[in-house]
Amino acid sequence: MVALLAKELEWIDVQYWFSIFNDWSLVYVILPFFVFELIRYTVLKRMTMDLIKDSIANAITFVAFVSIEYILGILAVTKLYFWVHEHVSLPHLPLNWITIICCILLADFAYYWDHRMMHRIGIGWATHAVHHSSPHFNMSVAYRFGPMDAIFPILFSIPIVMLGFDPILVLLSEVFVQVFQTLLHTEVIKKFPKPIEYIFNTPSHHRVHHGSNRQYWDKNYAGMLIIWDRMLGTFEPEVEEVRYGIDKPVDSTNPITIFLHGLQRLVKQMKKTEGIGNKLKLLIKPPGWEPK
Amino acid sequence: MSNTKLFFISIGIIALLAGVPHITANLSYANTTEIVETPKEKIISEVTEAEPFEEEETINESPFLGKWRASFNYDGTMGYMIVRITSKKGKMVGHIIAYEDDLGNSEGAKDLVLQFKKEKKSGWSAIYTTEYENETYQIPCTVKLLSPSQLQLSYDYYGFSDIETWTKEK
Repeated sequence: MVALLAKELEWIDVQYWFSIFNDWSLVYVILPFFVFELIRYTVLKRMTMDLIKDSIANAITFVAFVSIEYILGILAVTKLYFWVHEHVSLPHLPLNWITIICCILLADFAYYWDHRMMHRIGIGWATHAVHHSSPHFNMSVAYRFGPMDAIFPILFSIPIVMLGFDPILVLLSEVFVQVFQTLLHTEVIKKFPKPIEYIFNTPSHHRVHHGSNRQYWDKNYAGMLIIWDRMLGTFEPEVEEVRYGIDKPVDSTNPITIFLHGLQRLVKQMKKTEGIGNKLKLLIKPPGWEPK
Repeated sequence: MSNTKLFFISIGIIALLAGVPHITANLSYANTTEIVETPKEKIISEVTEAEPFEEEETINESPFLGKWRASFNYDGTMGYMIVRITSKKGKMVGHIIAYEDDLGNSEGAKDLVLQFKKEKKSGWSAIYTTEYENETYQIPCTVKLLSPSQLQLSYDYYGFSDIETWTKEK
């Protein structure tokens, strides 16, 4: 078994399998599922113009996010990641199943901490609040991104490259985690059997994460495995019905307003806060922090 | 949960997930026979073509088979590589058999550079083995014939894209 898992693989095969999940899942799972959700909204008489506009706004924020990601990608991936891999990395790991599985798990763990940081520091929340600002919960919300959502993950993926993992494998693993996360944005699936709910992040756990109910704040940061939350003290089960959104709603379906509202609020708060030190602290202190 | 506890739990998880592949990689290397790495000096000398390959099975008369000349730029050194594409057990592979400079000086080599995988409408999908900053990369590429004496190799690998044209040697 170990010999099989340690057997060297070819890049072309690995990229092929990743593309099946990372790239093509949009066609064979995500879009069909979103259509199903729209039908469900219609049947339940919950289909509103606000929901349609909100979904369109989500798609537009995604385009803006991808544009930023693409520009950063050229810089970070081809230059920084490869430089780190070449100069400040442990011995390079061979391409085999053990490396791939461990890389995906590390990418998932990095996602947990990246996500937790985005919730717990002012500048992180200024961008990530965009994702949480929708009052709805469906597949399109998974594509609702903020302007700096592409920047913070780099801080957490570089250490994985430093551990000897190939930069391309790290990127493919990050996308793998992100696609898994996308599939959790639904109200259609209630709960899975207990063993699955115990180990994996599920729609139920992620609904909690999107809840504006006080007990659901800053819980269930996981990407794929909910065990990270269980181990690190941030797990909360879905009990009370979830109210989606943030405590101060955006009340807009304008994609530009949505995309920039977090940063606008942060800048506004910085302007009215006295002292350079306090203004800077707003960037790194938890959201809602005020100087004494 | 205290920050210290969070820190140590996280370090433990990272050590486990990074340690397992490193340990298995080391064990795998230990189990294989000793590999002696030949330093790949790119200094052009006066050596002529490397010793010929063993006779290899030729299953068909593919127009790709034979010797090809391709230019290269390695750390600012311009030159040519001579690639021999052969067929063995139904699979075509290309080996660099010599490096040459503009003056015709050459150095022998025997490095795998191209592995043909699958024939497609647009040409052959293949793996192109190349070096960049002392690191070897295996890049998925497409190889197609432009004419009986010209071969085009193209790739787009995470921002690195190029189209090479190789010419057939007589």
